Amino acid sequence: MKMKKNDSKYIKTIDLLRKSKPLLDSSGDIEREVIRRISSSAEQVTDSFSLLDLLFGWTNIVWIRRGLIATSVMLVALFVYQQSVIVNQLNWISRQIVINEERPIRATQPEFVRQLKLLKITGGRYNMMNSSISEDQIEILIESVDKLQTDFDNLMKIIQDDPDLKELIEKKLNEKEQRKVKL
Amino acid sequence: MIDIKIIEECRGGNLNNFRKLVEVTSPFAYSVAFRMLGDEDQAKDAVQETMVTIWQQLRRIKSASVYKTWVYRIVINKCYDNLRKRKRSIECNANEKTWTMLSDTVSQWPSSELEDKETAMIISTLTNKLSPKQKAVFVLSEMEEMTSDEIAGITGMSKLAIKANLYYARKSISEMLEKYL
Repeated sequence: MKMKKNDSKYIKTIDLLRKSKPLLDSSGDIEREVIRRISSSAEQVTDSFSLLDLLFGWTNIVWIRRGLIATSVMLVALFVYQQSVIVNQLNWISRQIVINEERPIRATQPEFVRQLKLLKITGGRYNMMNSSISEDQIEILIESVDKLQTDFDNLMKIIQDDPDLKELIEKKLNEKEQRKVKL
Repeated sequence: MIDIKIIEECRGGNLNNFRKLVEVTSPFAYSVAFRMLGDEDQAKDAVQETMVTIWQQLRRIKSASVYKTWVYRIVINKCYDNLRKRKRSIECNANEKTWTMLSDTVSQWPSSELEDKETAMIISTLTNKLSPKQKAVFVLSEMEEMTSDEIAGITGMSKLAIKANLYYARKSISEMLEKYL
């Protein structure tokens, strides 16, 4: 019974609300406001897409326009990508040139010194182009000369530092000279 | 029924034809928005936003037969947005004046009718506790007298969900009427 009473109130209320359909008294205002908002947003869109209209304004078929816009965007993206790849390659190449410029200085300096030493040792008689001596043998020779030079320098220093030894050696050398003259 | 020619001309950017579309569409869009929101000004705002959205997305319409369902869907979504922004009151603050007025009107039923402001007050009070989805189902089913298929097409809900939401809405409103009327 209570449920029926509830249903009756519900049905009457709903019926009242259904009958009291809201009426739009200011449809003109809504129309004007909607047109104003559409016009202002259309102006913004026109401003921002004027370039697209300039490029693709010749066709009104939507899918062709979209296709052209998509293709042009892809081409621009591809162009930018290619440019970046080229710039990267150029940077890499320019780095390579710097290394190649440095390398001869670093690489030829010891070689140059080595050849000078060889010329000095041989008294300018050594011909590198026609030589049958191997690189290893030349290396051993230069090392031996260097070692000999170092030992000689050390010996000279020892003699200079010790006056008695110096006197003795000078005496021996003089005797040797006199012996040579006698002969 | 909306003429497909009007829609096609509007797609081409013809604002004069769009005025005709606004004229035809606004009344039923307003009816739903008003009953969903229970407020005249907010309902008008929702209709304006709906019409702007329609203008922007008119190319999606393939046939005139789906136009009305599509418009209802947009209005309902605009109302959802509006309702989400509002703070939901936990307790229904039954306005004594509203209940007295409703009681008087119901007692004179079926000859009585409500003014727009009175209708707005009553709907707002009765649906205060309902969620946006329950409100949408209640308005479309009970006020706009749509079938569950039509409501499913508009809201995207399953028939079972529509039934459940409608049951809860009816129960909630019945309890309120029993309590205050």
